[in-house]
Amino acid sequence: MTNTGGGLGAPPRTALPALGVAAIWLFLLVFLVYPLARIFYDAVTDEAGRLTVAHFVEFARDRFYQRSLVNSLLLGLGTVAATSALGFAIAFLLVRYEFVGRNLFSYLTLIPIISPPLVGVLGFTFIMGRAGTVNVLLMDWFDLVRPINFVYGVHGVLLVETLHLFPMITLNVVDALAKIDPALEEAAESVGARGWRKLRTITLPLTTPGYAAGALLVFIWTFSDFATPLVLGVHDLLAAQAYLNIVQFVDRRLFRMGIVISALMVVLALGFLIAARQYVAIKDYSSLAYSRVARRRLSGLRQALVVVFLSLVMLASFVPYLGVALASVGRGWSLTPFPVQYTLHYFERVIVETPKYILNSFLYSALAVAIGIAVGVPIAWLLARTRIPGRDTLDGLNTLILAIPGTAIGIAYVRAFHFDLPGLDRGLTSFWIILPLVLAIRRLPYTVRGSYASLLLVHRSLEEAAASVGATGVRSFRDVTLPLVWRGVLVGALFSFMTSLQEASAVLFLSLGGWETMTVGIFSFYIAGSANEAAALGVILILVAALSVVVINRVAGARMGGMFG
Amino acid sequence: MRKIALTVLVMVLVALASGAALAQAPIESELVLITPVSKFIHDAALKAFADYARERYGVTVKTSGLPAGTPVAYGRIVEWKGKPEADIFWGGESALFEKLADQRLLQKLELSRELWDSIPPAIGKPKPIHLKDKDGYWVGTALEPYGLVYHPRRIQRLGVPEPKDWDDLLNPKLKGEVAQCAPTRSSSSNATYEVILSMYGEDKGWEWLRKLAANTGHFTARSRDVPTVVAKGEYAAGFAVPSYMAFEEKLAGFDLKFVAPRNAFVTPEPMAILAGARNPRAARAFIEFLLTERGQMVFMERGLFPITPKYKVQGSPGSTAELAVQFTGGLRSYFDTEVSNVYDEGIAAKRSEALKIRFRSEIEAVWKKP
Amino acid sequence: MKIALRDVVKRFGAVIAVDRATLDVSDGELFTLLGPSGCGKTTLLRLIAGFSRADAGEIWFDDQRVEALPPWRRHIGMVFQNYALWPHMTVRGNVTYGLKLRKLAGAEIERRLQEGLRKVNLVGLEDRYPGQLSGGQQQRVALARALVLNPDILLLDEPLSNLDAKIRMQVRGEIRKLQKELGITTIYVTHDQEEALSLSDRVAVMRDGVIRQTAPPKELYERPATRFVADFVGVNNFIPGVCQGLADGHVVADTALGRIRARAAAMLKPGDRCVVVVRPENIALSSGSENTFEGRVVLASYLGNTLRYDVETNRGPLLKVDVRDPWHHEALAAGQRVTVSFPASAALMLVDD
Ligand SMILES: Nc1ncnc2c1ncn2[C@@H]1O[C@H](COP(=O)(O)OP(=O)(O)O)[C@@H](O)[C@H]1O
Ligand SMILES: [Mg+2]
Repeated sequence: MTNTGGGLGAPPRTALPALGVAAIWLFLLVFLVYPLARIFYDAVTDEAGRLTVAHFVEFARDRFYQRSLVNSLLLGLGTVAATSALGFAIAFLLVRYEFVGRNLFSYLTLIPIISPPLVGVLGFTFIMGRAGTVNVLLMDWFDLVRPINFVYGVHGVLLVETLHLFPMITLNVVDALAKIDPALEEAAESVGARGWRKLRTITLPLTTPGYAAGALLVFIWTFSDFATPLVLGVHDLLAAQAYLNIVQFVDRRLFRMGIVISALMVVLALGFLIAARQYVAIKDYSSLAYSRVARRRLSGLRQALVVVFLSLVMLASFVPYLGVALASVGRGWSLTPFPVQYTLHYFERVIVETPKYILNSFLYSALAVAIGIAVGVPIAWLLARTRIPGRDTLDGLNTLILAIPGTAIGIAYVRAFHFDLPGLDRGLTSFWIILPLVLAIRRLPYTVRGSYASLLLVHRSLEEAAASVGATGVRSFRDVTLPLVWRGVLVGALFSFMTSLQEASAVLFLSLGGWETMTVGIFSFYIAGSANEAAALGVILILVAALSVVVINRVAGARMGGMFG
Repeated sequence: MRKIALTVLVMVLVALASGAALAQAPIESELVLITPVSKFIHDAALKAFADYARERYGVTVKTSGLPAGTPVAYGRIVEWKGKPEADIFWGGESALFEKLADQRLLQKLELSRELWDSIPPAIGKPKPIHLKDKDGYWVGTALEPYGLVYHPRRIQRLGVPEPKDWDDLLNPKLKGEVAQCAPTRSSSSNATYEVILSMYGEDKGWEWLRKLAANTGHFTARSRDVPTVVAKGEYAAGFAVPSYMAFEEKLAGFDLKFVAPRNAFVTPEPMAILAGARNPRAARAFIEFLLTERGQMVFMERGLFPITPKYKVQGSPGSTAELAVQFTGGLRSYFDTEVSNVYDEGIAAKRSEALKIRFRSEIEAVWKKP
Repeated sequence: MKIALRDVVKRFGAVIAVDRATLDVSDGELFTLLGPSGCGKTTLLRLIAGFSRADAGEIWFDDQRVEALPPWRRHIGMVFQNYALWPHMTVRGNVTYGLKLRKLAGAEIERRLQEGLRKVNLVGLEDRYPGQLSGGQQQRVALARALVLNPDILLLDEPLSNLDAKIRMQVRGEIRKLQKELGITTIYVTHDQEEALSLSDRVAVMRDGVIRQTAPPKELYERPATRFVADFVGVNNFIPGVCQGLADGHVVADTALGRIRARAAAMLKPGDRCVVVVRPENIALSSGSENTFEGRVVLASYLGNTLRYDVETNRGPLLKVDVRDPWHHEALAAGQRVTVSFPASAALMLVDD
């Protein structure tokens, strides 16, 4: 008898596979389950370690927190609504219509995603702020005394998040639209549905699964983003409150409240995740179309309108980049539409004086990717190829990661790995390796999904063929499967790498002197009042991210949609 | 045989001596600060110290600063439980240093008598501002007023006279144009709130602060953002801004003005060595350096004032020191003038919790963006 | 409703998917488009449905030209090849969708739903989702969805191709019955000649976008107009040759097999290249007809109701010969010498295309 698939299906020839599975579980238990359990434990105990629900009672009674909860939910839903409208319209235009520059636009829609935390919103304020370019021009032209408030406030957060996140919807909907069998729409036409009616009752519902994945991501992102609201002066949101309460360690009561809010956010995000999954699970329409709906060529006027619309959206979502770019070279820029003095000083400072940020970012992200591959590819393989017990839990844990707000996992690590390691009189939090570890956990789903998707494409019979000539599970994986799926793994890895470079929330609490990454550097420059240096570092980060997107596109052919959800 | 014994003896002695020399290397080659004092100052101070250490001790010190707001820095020190990731805590209210000393998280400075005595115990009337700890756990490093800042062109455009005093911020024409940081998140804001309460009394003081909130367009996440948003022109005026932060913006090319109104809080920017610090000798050398003329120069060129009467902010015409003098209203040393101070450390410490709670309920919870 | 196409052309880039198609479908007729995959059947059907616009030609529904009408104005009901049931709607949702668009009253919608489901034997499955139905059931839902709107024309694109053989036979019968009951003009697309012949009133055979022959099944079967059509309706013996002209009321051709007498199905002049086609069942294992040849058995295959011999003639060409009633026939061994013959009336001489 030959070993056909590894896993538990066949008697393991050695203990190696079982050990590997155990190692994966151990990794997940130690670096995911335990820290999360720890913040839940913190949330329901007091300083003396006694069980209590007092924190939740306090939260529920506090009017400010109530408002924060409501605002967070509303903002999340509002952003989902706004990104959906925008993301959908753009996806629909890109997939269904032919117009000038369509290809270019489909590339450009990816760009807003790579805006790093904090820098994007800073860039926004430079252009759209009360003293931003737009207001300065308005004040000059119309002699306004008071600037118009475009960004400070919840509406600003909504605007910034929407312009940042709509591509997540676009990517997922483009993918979903492409999978719809055109006959489904023609069937609707044949019985009399057309235009909006057809769109609303047939096309939109058919994109639900892909769309729901994107929408969930948008929701969780907005829900857990604290940098944007804080820069825009909005504090009555859960993420902002969690962050603000945690960073002020002095008041232990507030500190614990920060943890309680983080735990609550995890619970809420989990709730939305489960709801979305349930919803999607009953609506799997992937009918794998044989053909695509033909792109309709638009009339001249309509084409012009579409191009104008898309250009405006792109322009708006490029505002942050423009702002950041100008701020990184503009000296003393105030109340003029554009900087009057230009300097490379800020770049010199960040490049010459703080190359460690850049080095650290690359080191941690690369390590995180390596850990992610080491753990994620085997997980993907277990999910795709075996019926190993606990497989569903593994899948669930992997998806769960997507729902955990970065600050929550950051603080969970601080709380969980603070104790002294045996043999060393310091905790894991005193070693920089904790940063790649937290990044690896945060990005694990991308690697798993990337590899899983390509594993599904590699037909099992190929592995069976290898087995039939005597290759064992591990060997057939190495010799047959891996060469076939490397592309998926690579895309997942690159995507993890790019997003690890961008990660701020999880590493912010864990960073110590000498360990700062670029994003932490951006934060500390910003905190230190050097918005220009922050911008310069931001520009570098954006360039690196843009480069990774290009590479990913080359490798994957623009199919990043499948990475999410 | 004797010869051999002698050689061995000599060798042992040499070895011992060199061992001792090693053990007595003047200072360690690393130094880490945790501080709310911004990069602008702490980077410069660390850099100057590194140069100094190389000249003076022949040691190349790898220095780094952990920027952290006062509460965060304090919180982390407490979390470290005597096994700190930094050697020195610098900045914030002196009350916090006393709290840390009580928890045995600081070690005595043990500076030379002469250096210690060169710093007066306190300045200010009617309430004294302590410049060093009577028990020797912390020492002030520079004097720094928390004042207000404004953007002259924005102020002019709004048709408001340039603010000189606290009350000028309540001008109805400044509605929505003031930026401040919550006292729950910023020690400079907290101190200035305390000043207002001490000046006007509890009830009137809160009324004043509520009026200020009504004019406030932006509560920044951190105190450092206040001068930033004003310098850029996003808001016309800012409340409770340390002088050097404003000056930093000025040096960065922004058109920004600073005023330290009546009774503005003046902080000595205390500094202490953490108990269990890995580099205690480097830490002490750093403090000693900062109190020398060369060290004080770092501050004086950046909008801060000397901690001792020995020095004055002075420089050649056009130097940054002179620019700083001009920027902060012509003052060269706090020891040249009467410093009026109403901030009472005892009352402040007692009231601090209540202040935060009252801020949360009376201002933060009801504040609406105008 | 009558349908008439006049020189309808549809191109996709360089491909001419439908080339000057002309046909007339009379009221109540079940008209089939038959042809191999890729010959343009779907394209032609979609032109009639209005999902795409013809590049040239006219399409008439009774006295109205419909090229400019969108699908929803043409009063058609369409069943798509893979049914195109909306997966997010129940059977009820799928069937009543069009009715709701017409803003009918709730009771009327329900009545028409039940009536429609009764017609296709699906009563009771209203609340199932398509994913919960078998292929045959899905097919009927698609049919019901097309019929509840009482269309003037029913268009079916390979409606049975996704079903397994047994159900296919059954549903085929049901469709034919329903169509006759409703008397609805129907265009039926298929690549299966047996299906086409068994249920159509008339069949149009297409190849490369061109309609090669339009005829009732019997005529198509007995008198295919070209080699291609003959091939497509199941003729298996093709003997190429050269036309020699008339003799004794038959046409005569010289072929590799020798001289063959046959019926002329097309205008052929002496000297024209032609092909003689004969169905295996029309060849007898005996002598006695106009065309008789010697050969030997090379293969015998048992096909259930027939036994097919591959007979290699002495001159070389292979003939397929069917014996109808294998029960009462002693099978011949391979290598056995036989005489085969077929009457001139059973052989057709066609243009070799
Ligand atoms: N939308 C289209 N774009 C380009 N070529 C098409 C399109 N639809 C059909 N064709 C081509 O037209 C020809 C006829 O196709 P079709 O009508 O689908 O054939 P059938 O239904 O008979 O199998 C084929 O060559 C096919 O490739
Ligand atoms: Mg077809």
